[in-house]
Amino acid sequence: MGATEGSRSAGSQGDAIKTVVSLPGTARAGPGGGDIVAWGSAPHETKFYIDGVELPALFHGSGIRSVVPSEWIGTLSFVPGGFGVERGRGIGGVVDVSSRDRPLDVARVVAHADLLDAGALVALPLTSYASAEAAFRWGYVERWLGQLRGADVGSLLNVPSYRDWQLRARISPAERTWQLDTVWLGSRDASDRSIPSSDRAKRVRATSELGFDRVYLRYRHMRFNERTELTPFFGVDTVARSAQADGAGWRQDTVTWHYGLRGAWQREHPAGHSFRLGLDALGSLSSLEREGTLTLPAREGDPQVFGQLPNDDTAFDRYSTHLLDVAPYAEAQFRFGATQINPGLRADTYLIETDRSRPRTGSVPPVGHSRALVAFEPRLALAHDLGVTRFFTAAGIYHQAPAAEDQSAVFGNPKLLLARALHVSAGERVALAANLSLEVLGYYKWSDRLTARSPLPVPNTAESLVSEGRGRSFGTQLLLRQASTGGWSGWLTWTVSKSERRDPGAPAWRAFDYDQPHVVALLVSRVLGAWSLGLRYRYASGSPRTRVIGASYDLRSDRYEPLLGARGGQRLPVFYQLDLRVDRRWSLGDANLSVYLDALNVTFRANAEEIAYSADYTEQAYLTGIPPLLLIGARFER
Amino acid sequence: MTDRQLHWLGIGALLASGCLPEFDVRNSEIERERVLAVVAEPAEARPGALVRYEALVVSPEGRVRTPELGWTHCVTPKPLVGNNSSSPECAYELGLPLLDASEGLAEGRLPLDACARFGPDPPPGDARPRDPDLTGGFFQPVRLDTWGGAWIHFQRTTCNPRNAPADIARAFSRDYVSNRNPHITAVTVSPPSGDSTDGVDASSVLDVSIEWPPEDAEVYSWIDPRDSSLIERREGMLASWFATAGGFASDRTPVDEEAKATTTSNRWSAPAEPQTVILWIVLRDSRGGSAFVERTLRVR
Repeated sequence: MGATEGSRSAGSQGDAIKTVVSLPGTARAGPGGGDIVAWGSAPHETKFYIDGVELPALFHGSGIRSVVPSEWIGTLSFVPGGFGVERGRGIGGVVDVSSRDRPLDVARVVAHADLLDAGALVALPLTSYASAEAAFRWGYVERWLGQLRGADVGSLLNVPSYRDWQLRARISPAERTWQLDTVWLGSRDASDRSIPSSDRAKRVRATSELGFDRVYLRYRHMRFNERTELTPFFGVDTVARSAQADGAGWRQDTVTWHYGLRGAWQREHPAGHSFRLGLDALGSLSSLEREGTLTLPAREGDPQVFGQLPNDDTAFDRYSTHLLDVAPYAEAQFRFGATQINPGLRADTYLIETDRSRPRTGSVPPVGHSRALVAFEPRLALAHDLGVTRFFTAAGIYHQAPAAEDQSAVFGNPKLLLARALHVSAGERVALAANLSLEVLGYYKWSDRLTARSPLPVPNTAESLVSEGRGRSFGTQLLLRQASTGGWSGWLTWTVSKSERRDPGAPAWRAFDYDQPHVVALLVSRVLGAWSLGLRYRYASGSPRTRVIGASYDLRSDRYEPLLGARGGQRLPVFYQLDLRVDRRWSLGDANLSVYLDALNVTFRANAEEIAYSADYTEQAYLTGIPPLLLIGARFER
Repeated sequence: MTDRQLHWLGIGALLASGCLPEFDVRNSEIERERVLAVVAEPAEARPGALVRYEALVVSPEGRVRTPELGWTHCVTPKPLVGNNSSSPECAYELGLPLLDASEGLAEGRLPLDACARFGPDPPPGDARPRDPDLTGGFFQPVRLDTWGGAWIHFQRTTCNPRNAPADIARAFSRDYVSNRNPHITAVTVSPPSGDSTDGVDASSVLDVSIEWPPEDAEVYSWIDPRDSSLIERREGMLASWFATAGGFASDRTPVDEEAKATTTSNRWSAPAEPQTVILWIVLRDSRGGSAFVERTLRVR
């Protein structure tokens, strides 16, 4: 998908990456849509890349804005599963963003402002073979939204103050056979959400400061039938999160330094065959400090009730981890008439180290733990063209290393295994008319060794988490797509799926926390001269929630505590929302000015996003999501 | 201008009625029979020690002097999942019954394995010790069964410190003073109500405050899990307010550790109809000790 198409869709506020959540194969993860749930995978199992460099997050806060502006984006692709050997370390899907290639000799200025943020991009030619580009964005939505809505906003959405920037210097010789980009991407989020109350038991405060920087060189060389690409990179992620309520809570500070190298060499044969060799190496050195109760933050599958205050058990751990993964890969593409076969093999060699294999005990010196793990990941994709019809299938094995946050000897397990998944998909695409196609695809995902809480009431030391979770997901997705024709463009998607998890020691499968049997999205755009109109309609089954069947009273903290029924024993009501967009463009000589209006939730639907309970759990009501909202913005481009 | 028109102005949409639902249930309103507090003597004890419990059971008609209570020591530790302070089984398991001496009183010896089940002394093997609460304490859950449900008292249990360096553990064992229950020394209703025979005006708003001796916010030793250092902390206090009619401004009023206040107050709105109202105020210290007081007000 091109960035321009994405940024024109209704509900995106000009943000191309936001359209990812309306693509087939995704479930709706929450009111902001900041998490990507791809083919029944948990949000942290899907990876985000820009120019092949992994980013820790795709959005600021709860999907308020993507971390890279649309002006910076060239193409955007989302693969919910069954992706090729070039990508790894994730058992979910992949969102791949490539930065926009601008002509070296053209100066460009883009400025925008709306109710969410303001930003600018300047691209300047420096010489005939070099250019520089800089973009900056400053978010201020939290300033007015928090004042107007107060605590309600913080109860559901993380609306941070944010800023991001992108700098690029490009060198490319006159013959344009090679190109070298030097890029710095940065992002900062800070939020302080609180629900004040004179009742200590109701006083909740959550803070978070998230940031990342990535600096990378991207060298691309093209000669005849060969392409070479090298991307060494370096970066740092900082995470400081805390949640406090009734004196109890949780705090986690993490600093992770990343270093890595991506390289690929590809050669194409005149007969249409091609061969690619590559290397995907990543090192991550994390320093972590965590304090508070074991049960915060909640994990997927935790029996929990929205708004329940945490217990006041408290533990502490300070540790560091090092993960190094060197993954050479090879992929071939063979063409035999109308048939295309893409076999590939990726071999990930992991070195996983922690400096503490057991909790601190008195003055006993810490003993670390180091492991080398090898994971082979064969992948295969087949396609067969029959004129207007194209059949395609893909399968592959995927692995994901345990998160540094889960390797604590106190809160987690330093000896967690690599999570593993099998993806299989098959489908058919039919060209119904010029630029109109229909695609039907079935998929199946199996995963095991998922990190999950120990089922034992008294687990072994340093085994609060175990690699014994399992998952399965299968479904069918339909995509009817109209590429831009006569001013019309858009798509209709319908995903029917079932996603389940089996917790360690559990006798039966349960519904995955984000399981949504039906997800429908309709996006339509119409360009009428200087006007552009857009519509987005989304429908999704309600996500599972655990039912409260009673309550007991804690006489020490003076509050009721819920007694819970079967996990996932009830569902939220269905979600649907209609958004409209109007865009007007004016030509001002060699410049353009456009103004847009994004009307969210025009049907005034009060979508239930969570179930809230009274203090004694005898009454329940729904927390509703985004109210009808009119957002206005302007964009200047020259 | 209608709400819907305001919504279309954008700003109106943001001012729309909140996402958070409002509930009528107030913890401070006594609308059915409830257990409001259990005072244990001693407030903290070692496993095997005899502990005497007194329950404050109330109903809209006043204190229930002879409640039908079942007392049980829970035996199932809390699982790793869930935010509750006790295991789900604690609400219904057979457990270890205590001797019910009637009239809301009971006594029993703390189970000898309390520190193994609910404390830092895990069972044999390589089991993970339990985490302490914010004050470094461990608690034996004691369930009270009434017709109205299950009420869990958490009896602070003295266990040996774990995972601390030997010198810190020795110093802790030497310096730590077991928790004692706080005392409510005065209840002030302003304008003064005098004794229970005096009346207050219907629909009037009164300030109600309680006092406790400064030494009841005890100083105690605590091992900081961050660096295993031994620190002296002062207890915080939490007052819970209850009334059979009328309404308190806040269900609870806290006094933080840092504050050295020996009093806390609340605002109570008298009901509009003449009647007799009973107030209960429960004072809890942050280590699990508690005290309560009852006042009767005649609304004229």
